[in-house]
Amino acid sequence: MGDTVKKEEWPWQDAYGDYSMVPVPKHEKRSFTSIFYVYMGVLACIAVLWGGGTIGLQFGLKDAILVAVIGSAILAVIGGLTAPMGGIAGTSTYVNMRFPFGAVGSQVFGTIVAGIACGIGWFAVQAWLFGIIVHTLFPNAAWANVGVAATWGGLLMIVTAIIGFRGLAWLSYLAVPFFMLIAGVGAMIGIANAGGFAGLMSIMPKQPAPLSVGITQVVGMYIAGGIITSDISRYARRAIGGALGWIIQIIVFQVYMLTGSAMLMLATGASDVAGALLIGGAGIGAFLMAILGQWTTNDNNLYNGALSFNTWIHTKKWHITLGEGLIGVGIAAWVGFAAGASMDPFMKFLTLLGKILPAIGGVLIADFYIFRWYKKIPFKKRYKPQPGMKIAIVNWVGWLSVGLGTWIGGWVMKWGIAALNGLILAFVIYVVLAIVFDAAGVKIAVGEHTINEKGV
Amino acid sequence: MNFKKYIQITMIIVVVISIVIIALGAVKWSENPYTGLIYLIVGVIQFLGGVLLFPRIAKLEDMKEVGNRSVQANWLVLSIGIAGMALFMAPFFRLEAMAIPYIAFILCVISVLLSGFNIFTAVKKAKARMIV
Repeated sequence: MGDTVKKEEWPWQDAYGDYSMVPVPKHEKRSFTSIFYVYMGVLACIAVLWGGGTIGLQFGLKDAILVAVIGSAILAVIGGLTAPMGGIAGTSTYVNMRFPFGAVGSQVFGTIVAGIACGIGWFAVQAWLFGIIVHTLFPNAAWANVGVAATWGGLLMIVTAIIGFRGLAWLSYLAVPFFMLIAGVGAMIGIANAGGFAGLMSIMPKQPAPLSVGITQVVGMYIAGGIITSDISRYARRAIGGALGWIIQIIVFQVYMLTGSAMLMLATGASDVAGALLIGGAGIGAFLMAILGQWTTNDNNLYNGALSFNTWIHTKKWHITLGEGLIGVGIAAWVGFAAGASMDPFMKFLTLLGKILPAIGGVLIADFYIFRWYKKIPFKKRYKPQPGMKIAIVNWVGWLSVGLGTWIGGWVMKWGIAALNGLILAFVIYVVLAIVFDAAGVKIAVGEHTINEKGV
Repeated sequence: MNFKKYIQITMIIVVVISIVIIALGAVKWSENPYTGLIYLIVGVIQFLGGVLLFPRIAKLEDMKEVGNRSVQANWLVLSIGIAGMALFMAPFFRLEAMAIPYIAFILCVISVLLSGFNIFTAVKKAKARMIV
């Protein structure tokens, strides 16, 4: 009887582990604190400090703060809109993508957004960055060679990702408060080096950049995270919890971290954050920052990547995590051994990322908030799958909107913030086309796929 | 010993440790304000983590829930304790008399060990979740 009741409440089979294809059941939902910490774990990374450092080299402190606040506010809005999708449906971004893109669309776009970009690309880049930082801190040690450190660092990161959400949360609980403190230490070192806060305010970079360049950098740096917030928010007890967690961490803590590292770089003029911290006297804190910062972020990259690959590779999620992790480690080690301490691959990767991802986010937001509202689907029932539910194989309007949004926003338009251009364009194109064609009786859904109890 | 009682006693120890760290920070503020500040931050966070747990578990009868809340508080104490261990001895926070950083370091070690054991005990005895 008990089993019958349970089956009625949650009619799914978690065949692949970590609820990768099915809604997270109520008894597995987590508190706001947990969700907030995991988001913070993603944020608490060297890349964000590095981003802040880049801002510190291009702007005076006042403008650096302005850039951090505006860029973070844009990201807060994007993530604040995507997080409730996971909170309501209890499913990951890639499962949610089946609605605006169709079953095949979710596989293709999910693989681009999270599988290739996060699970392999970002993972490899961050493992490589980890190698660079460890090498900066210990230039003479064989184990700190860029390629060698990228390898052992990458393998460490694979472990927590394989454990799943629990692994991410444990590590975040451990690392996040520490990381917040070390960002503060960076600010202290900056102030001390500049001879006080007033001294820091008076320092100006040799070649100041326009504000829009800095805002684009801040948005481009983390827009991928803003689009795939549902991967974490699906575990939130309340739908609003994931959105709130995201907004607070971005508005408060990202600004704090960007500003802290900008202050450090502005005052020291050093070329990298870890080296500046070490020279500034942060001691072993600089090393722990390098390890924990990369670890907490990169296990999330793998985690998100595995969730997306699971939409078309139907095996246990940890098999996928291990596979993509090893590919990423291989790339990082190769770049480490071949390119040494060059920053080029990182910058090129970021540029490409900023152009491809936002349009997908724009379509998701347009479909969830506007098109489903237009179709009179109650808010709390949107994107909620059921076994036996029929969905499209391809939603061509979603595909077209992403293509046009990415192309026009990323390559044709020469003004504004590239990432934001793509997102807004795809949003508008999707809303207009979907509503017009639906009103005209033209089918936007091609083919039919039935969701089974494994969520496939 | 009752788990709730055990947690309350150990958190009193954590609170006392944090007060000592705050006091050390206040004493050394004039010598190096950054050192004073980092001691204060670590001390205050540990203090809040410990003190706020008391009202949160005061009226709870369900041991699992007591365990869950103590896990949250102890994760915070553990993490910030590790940060203190890593930073108190760093060159930037160096003081003329190194006895004080050593004392602060040892206090952080104690709070880290205690909070780590508390998490273990909460999971083992109170069947709490390691993540809540």
